[in-house]
Amino acid sequence: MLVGLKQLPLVSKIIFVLSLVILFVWVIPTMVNYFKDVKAQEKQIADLQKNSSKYGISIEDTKQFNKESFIQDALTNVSKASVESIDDKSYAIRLEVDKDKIDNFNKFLETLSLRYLVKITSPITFKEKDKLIEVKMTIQEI
Amino acid sequence: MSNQQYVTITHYKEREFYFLSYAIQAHDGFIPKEMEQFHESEKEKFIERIRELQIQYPESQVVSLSLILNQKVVDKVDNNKASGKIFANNYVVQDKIDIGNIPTTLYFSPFALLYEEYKNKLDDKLTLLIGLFDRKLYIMFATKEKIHESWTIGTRGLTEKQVADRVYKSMKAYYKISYKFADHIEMLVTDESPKLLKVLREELSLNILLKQNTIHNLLHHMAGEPKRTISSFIKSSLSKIGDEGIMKNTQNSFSTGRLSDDLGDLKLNGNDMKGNATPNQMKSMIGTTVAGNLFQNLLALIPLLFVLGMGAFFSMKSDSMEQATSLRQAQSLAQTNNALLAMTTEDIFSAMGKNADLKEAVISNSRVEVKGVVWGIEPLRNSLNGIYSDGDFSIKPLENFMTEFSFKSKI
Repeated sequence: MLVGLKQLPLVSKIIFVLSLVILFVWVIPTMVNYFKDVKAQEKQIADLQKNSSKYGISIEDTKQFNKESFIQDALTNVSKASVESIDDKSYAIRLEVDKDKIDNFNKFLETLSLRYLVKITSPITFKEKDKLIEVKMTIQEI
Repeated sequence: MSNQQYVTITHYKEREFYFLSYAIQAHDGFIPKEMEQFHESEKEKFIERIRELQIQYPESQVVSLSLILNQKVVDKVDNNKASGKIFANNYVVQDKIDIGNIPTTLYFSPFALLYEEYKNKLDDKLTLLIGLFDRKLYIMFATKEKIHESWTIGTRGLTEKQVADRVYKSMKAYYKISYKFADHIEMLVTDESPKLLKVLREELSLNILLKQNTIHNLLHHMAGEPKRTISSFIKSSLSKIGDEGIMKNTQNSFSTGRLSDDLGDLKLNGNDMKGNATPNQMKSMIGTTVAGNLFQNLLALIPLLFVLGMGAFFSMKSDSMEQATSLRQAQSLAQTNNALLAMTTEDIFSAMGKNADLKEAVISNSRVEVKGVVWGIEPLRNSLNGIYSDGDFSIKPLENFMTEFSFKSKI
């Protein structure tokens, strides 16, 4: 093979060496990164799946945040729910929960990021209001 | 007859005929056998005859002659071209060995034949060696040290006077470079051409020593001895008619170059070389002097394109995979934070139980602040301090005989 390489014209040799350099400097590291990411993602999906299965949720059903859908979901656990946009991807959430049903809110909180691709970006504030507890927080799409 | 005898099969093409001969090589020379002639329309028959001889004489070489005009003697070997060594520091080079399908294992230049014929006569004096092969003149100035300059001159369509004039012009051209005229002239002809010899003698005003031999005999002689053969046959950088060809009957072939009819085919190769030094180097650099090289360069692009394509594909896949992975990472982190928040909320509300009523609370994963009305101070304090031992619990009596508590802690 080396003898064959020696007999190639100079340009062919340069192209051949360039191909090898690109292969080792760019292609192989990119491939390695890709397969690393595939593995990392598989692990994260497995962890999330394991977590979500406790609540009977499949992560395949995780969806982008949508106000109407969110309110509808929230109302199965709380008495009142409203969403106000802050900017493109951030929303102020206001919920009202019966004092005795605070566990429902906790359950809703635990499963929030399994149902929607969102994260809570502010502390959660609780305020007593006529036998109900008003809960406020800010969420952001991820 | 023993089939193990070493036999040289020689062939070349002149005008529209192929000429074939073979000779038994012996210690004291070669014994030429029959010579055959084939019209170019009988090419297949001609090739078949060569193969028959090869089968009949397994220890054989098929020898031929490069009769193209585009060959020259140079001081350095050019690896991108077909070349053969013909002197200590001289090589005859041509663009390529144009292999058709005529079996050929050894391929010589007329310059090599000329040198072989006269090498023992060369001395310090400048000798002009002229070879007439297939109506072409192969001319070189030589001393015993080296070949100083070479030309090829096509004679087709030229009168003897014109040919002689061109030889003279070549000599003048060489004189301009070296300020030397040849001391004497040797001429090797493969065809009788008394008129040309006469005119050359008159034009050049020099005595020309003539030697006549056939191309077949010259080739039988060249291929008759391994040392002689190895030192001067033309090797192709591409086709590898080369060292292996000495030992094997490689099925290579060539076709003679077509001689241009135009009369401007006088070539001062030395001057060509000088004038084209940079372009030649450029050609060598870019390797496109022959179609084969171009083809090889194009072929070499295939792995490059493949590597680039693969890189682009995995780069795109990697980018999208990276985005998907970071999305899942963010989701996983958000889920963990939410679970911790839910746990903290549950702890706080459980701790208050029936001992307190909540007024306000701020809960995050780094701190907790709770304020409310307390009914059982000590149980509440104990419960909250049980969860957050470093927390700050305080109470404040209210006007309506109730007591307000506040609790702050870092998590």
